[in-house]
This record gives sequence, structure tokens and C-alpha cells, in this order.
Amino acid sequence: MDVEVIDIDLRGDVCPYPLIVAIKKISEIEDSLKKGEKILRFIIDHPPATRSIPREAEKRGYETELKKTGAAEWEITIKRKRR
Amino acid sequence: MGIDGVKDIYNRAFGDAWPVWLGGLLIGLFNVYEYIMEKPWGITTATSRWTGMILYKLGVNTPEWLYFKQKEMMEKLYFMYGGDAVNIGLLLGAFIAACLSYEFAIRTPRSKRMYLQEFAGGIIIGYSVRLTNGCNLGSFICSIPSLSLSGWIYWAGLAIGAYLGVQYVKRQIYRMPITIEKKTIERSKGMSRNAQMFLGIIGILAAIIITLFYIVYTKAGVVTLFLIGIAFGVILQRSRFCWATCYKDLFISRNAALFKAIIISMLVSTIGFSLIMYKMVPDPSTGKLPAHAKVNEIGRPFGIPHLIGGILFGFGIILVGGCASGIMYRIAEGYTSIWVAFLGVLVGHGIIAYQWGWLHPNILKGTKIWLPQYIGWGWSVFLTISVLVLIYLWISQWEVKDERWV
Repeated sequence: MDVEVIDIDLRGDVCPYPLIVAIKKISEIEDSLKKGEKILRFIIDHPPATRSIPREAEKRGYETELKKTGAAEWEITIKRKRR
Repeated sequence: MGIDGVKDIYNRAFGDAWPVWLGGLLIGLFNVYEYIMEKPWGITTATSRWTGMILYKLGVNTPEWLYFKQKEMMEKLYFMYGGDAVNIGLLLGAFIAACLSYEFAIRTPRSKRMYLQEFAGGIIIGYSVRLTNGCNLGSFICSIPSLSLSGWIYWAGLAIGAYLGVQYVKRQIYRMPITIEKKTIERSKGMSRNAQMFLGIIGILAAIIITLFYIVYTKAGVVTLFLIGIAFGVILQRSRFCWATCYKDLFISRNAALFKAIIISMLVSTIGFSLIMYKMVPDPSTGKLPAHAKVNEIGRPFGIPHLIGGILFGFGIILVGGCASGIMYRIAEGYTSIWVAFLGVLVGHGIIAYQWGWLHPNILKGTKIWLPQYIGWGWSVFLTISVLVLIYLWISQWEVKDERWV
């Protein structure tokens, strides 16, 4: 089965936009995320979001990964929890 | 200590962000230290003088305005006194911290419309902070430890305003489709790590030069305040401390980590401030207020203007995405949108300063409620600390309940 990676560019957004957009997107594709058909990847440059987005996703039962990819640039991957 | 030791310290300080509770603790301590040196931490009294000076240079007769007379604009000039020294230190400290931790970047919002919102939010902030004689610092985290009733009224207003702000932004986002989804995303062409390191070192050199300059040309206290300002900048940037972020996390995803850190900072400050104030005014029944304590005028009718100020500020900080201290350190991190917001803040200062001649005598003046004058020293300190602890415990309970908030 192919896993589709969806990239969302949130660079340039400040609080509270990144978190709300992330929550909206996660809710929109919740089914396929939970089934493991899709993986979400947020690109952000707002430091507080490196804390708030993973925390919210983990609360909803996903696995998250935070990676620094450049000058004030991070990538947050959100996917189904491995059993 | 070898080169590895230095690397280790560097990585700890400028690698991952500091935990927020540590930020809260340090902010509380430095706030007490600043009060020992001169006065509790504040930002916007100094920035409002900038508005006054800019208008004066443009030919407006601001020295005759009641507001700028009260704030001694003409006596406190050109960055040579404590209030400005703290702000310059903060900007520089945040800039150094951002560069050394590879987090400096010129950020531009995706939509130009955002600049408009930032400017409007800035005006609301700039106006409201002078309505209550302080921002999230002067009206809130310095005011509650000063054992003043005004801090509690402000806190209520701030929470209401931030809640309304979050609802507004949420509606805005849920009405739009997400248009930022792409198959491949071009990565940033931001400045390299070495270039940032270089900028950081230039920042440190600038800090040293300014320190020497203050030592030579001003009285002793100013240089200490400048260094405290640098400390605040580094702490804020590294722990990502922001009151707007706090309420956003709280109201959007039931995340109270920052909220609790703010309470920690106030607990520390309450103990320190009480000791300082007790030394100045051991007997509160004399009616004297301790010098520089942030016991703010709550206005007429009882507390309403203060509450409104809090609500406006809470709404404004969510629109902008940064409180007064947040705006300052994000200016240094390179957010162009926040630069525009800061212009808005200066304009907001100007509007309220213009109205001050009527506003202050008729609405804002009078009624300062310093708790020790009403219930004595013991009860004031005991009640302030226990209410803070109770709120801390209550919010800890509330945040673990895993309910969908959106």
C-alpha cells in the first residue's frame, strides 16, 4: 500500500495560526491518517509551534517527529502510531 | 575545561529550547532583581516615550501633553536611562540568542493582508497598555506580586480578551480552505549556521560596547538594567515565553504548560517583591505606597476601565501573535509582520497620549488598591500566594482531561 505524504507549508505564520490550521487539517483527514494511508508533514518557522503542534497531535493519539531542517525551519511529521 | 566542555555548555544553552518552567523561574528571579536595582520590569512606558519623541521631532508639541509630562519625557532622553536600557538589552539579548541557536530568519507572512491585521492589533495593544499603566508585565506579572488588586482585574480581562481573540481567529481559519498544501515544498534559503554564528558574535560585541558606553556616560544603575534586559531577551527567546502563546495553547488545545510557568514566575516575584516592599513600608496603615510598586489605578467606575484595558490587550495579542515582551523579542528574531505590529503599538501609544488630558483626570485617575492597606501584610501575602497555588493546581487538573477542545 502506498502511503501518501501531504506537505503543508506554514512558514510565515505566527501564533495562533499554525496550531489552528494544523488541528483543522488533522481533523479533516483523520480517517486516512488513523488507517496509515496518509502522513502529514508541516513545515514551520515559528518556534512555539514546534512545541504546541506535536503535543496536540500526540494527545490525539498520533506519533510525531520533529526535525530541524534549516535556519529557523522545522518539519513536524504526524503519522499513525506503530503498534 | 576543554573545548568539549565549551561545546557542551553551548549545546545546552542554544540547542533545544529551554523548558518553560525554567523560563518562568528565571523571569521571576530577574524581575525581583530589577526591582531591587530600580523598579519592576516594564516595556511600554519607555516605548510610549519613543512615540512622544518621534512626534516632537516631527513638530508636534508633545512636551506639553499631560501624558508625556507625567512620564517625564523630556527628562528621560535618548536611551540614556533605565527603561530604554532594558528594552535595548532585551532586543539585543533576543537577537544574540536567536542567532546562536540558529533560529534567526527574516520571516514574511504568506498573505499581505496579514500586515494589516498586525498593524491593527498593534494599535489595540499600544492603546490598551497605557489605559492600564502596563502591558502583560506592568499590569500583570509585576502587579500581582506587588500585592495590588489591579493585577487580578487585569488577569480576568486578559483571559476574556484572549478567549475572544482565539474564537475570532478560529472562525477566520475555518472559513477558508487550506491552500498551502503542496506536493513538494521548496526549503528555505535562510542564512547559514556559520553566518548566524557570526551575527551572534557581532551582537555580543555590540553588547560589550554598549555596556562600556553606559558605564562611562550614565549613572551606575543603567548599565545593570541593560544587562538585566539582555538576560530577559535570552530567557524569553530560549524558553519561547509569550503570553499570547500561553492563551492560545490554553484555549485551543488545553495545554497549560506556559500558563503554569507564568504562575511560577509570579510566585517567585511575590516573595521577592513582598520582602522589598516590606522594607520600604513596614506599616501599610500610614497610607504610603512602596516606591515603584505596580499598584495601578483601576479607574472609575470601580475597575471597569482596567478590565476593558485587559480585554483589549488580550484580543490584541492574539491578533498580533505576541504580547508586549513577545513583540520585542520577535522583532529581534526577524518577523517582518511583528515589525509592522510594533509600528501599530507606537501609533496606539500616540492615540491614547493625545486623549490623556481628558481620559486620565476623568476616568483613570484615583483608586489604587494596595492589599496590605486593607487586610495587612500577612493576609495579603498569604492570600496572593494561595490563590496562585490554587489556580495552578486547578489548571493542572483541567488540562489532563483529554476532551476535544476544537
